[in-house]
Amino acid sequence: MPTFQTSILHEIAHGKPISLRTRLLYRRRLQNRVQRLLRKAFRDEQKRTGLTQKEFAERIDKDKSKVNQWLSIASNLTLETISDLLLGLGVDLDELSVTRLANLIMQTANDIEEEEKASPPPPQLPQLNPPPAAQSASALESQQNWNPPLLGLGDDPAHQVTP
Amino acid sequence: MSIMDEIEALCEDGRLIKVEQSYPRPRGAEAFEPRSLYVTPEINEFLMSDHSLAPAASADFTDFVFGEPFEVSLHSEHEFYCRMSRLDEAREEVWEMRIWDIEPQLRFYGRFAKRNIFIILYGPVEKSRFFRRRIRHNPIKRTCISTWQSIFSFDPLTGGDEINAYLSNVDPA
Repeated sequence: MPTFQTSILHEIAHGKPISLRTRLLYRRRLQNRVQRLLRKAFRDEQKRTGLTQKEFAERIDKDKSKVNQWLSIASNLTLETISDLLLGLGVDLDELSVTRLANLIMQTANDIEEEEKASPPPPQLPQLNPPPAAQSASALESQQNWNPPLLGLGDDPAHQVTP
Repeated sequence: MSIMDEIEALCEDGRLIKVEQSYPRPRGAEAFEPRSLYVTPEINEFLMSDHSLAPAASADFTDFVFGEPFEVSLHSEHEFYCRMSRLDEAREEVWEMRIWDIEPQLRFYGRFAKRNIFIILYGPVEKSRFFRRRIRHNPIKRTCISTWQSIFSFDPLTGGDEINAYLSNVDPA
């Protein structure tokens, strides 16, 4: 079982305080799931009636680009907005039911364990390619010691402030 | 040695890390074709950190691994609301993964080893809504390409303009 899931299971199953990290993760998970639900409902309606995003947006008096955003990426939608979107698509939620997370996590852990048992042992290390000819030794060294730009990117060359 | 053999050997050596799911698969998602995502140790360190933006990236990566549907653009200049976009020039085969609706948004960069197998080599790069910064892709692409060439003996997947050659269960943005 992955360590992170183990710690979440520990929090959930043993009545421990739920960490901010876990809460942030599950908030995002729910946002993604709601987005996919809306996206699927829109796609179904589009297939059935030829509904466009523009028509949909007009129908619920929203900006087209906002509707496009809500259907495409995770957003922190209010219940009011979700209600408007469902109504605009002429659909309702079948039911609002819950499932025990601890059971789902245990099931996932079992699945991973089964997969690991079934997978063959890792192969020997590959013969790695030599670096590209144009690359200098120092460039290669800096690449090996490369650190990603973990936020706070004011001096990062990958960024350019647009006027 | 096959592509998967190389990837697995790099994982064994600690130079790549397979992104594991951060939460259980929701009911109904079993039908999706699973995908694989690999990151460098530095990126994995970010994902496992207490940084407030890491959970959003972990969640989006988990959904990627589950094979959940999402939207993809084959042209980076289109600032569509999509989760993945191929940077120009297309032949360089460097892709951007976008983590939306957080402030700042995050971007990760990598290349496809095979269909549904994506290797993230650079990131996270922040993209703020409030400070108008344009991400300069050229140095990022160069880093991705040179890192790729230093660890793999094969070229990245070239799928042309066919999105389904890269990913299952996706739609054009």
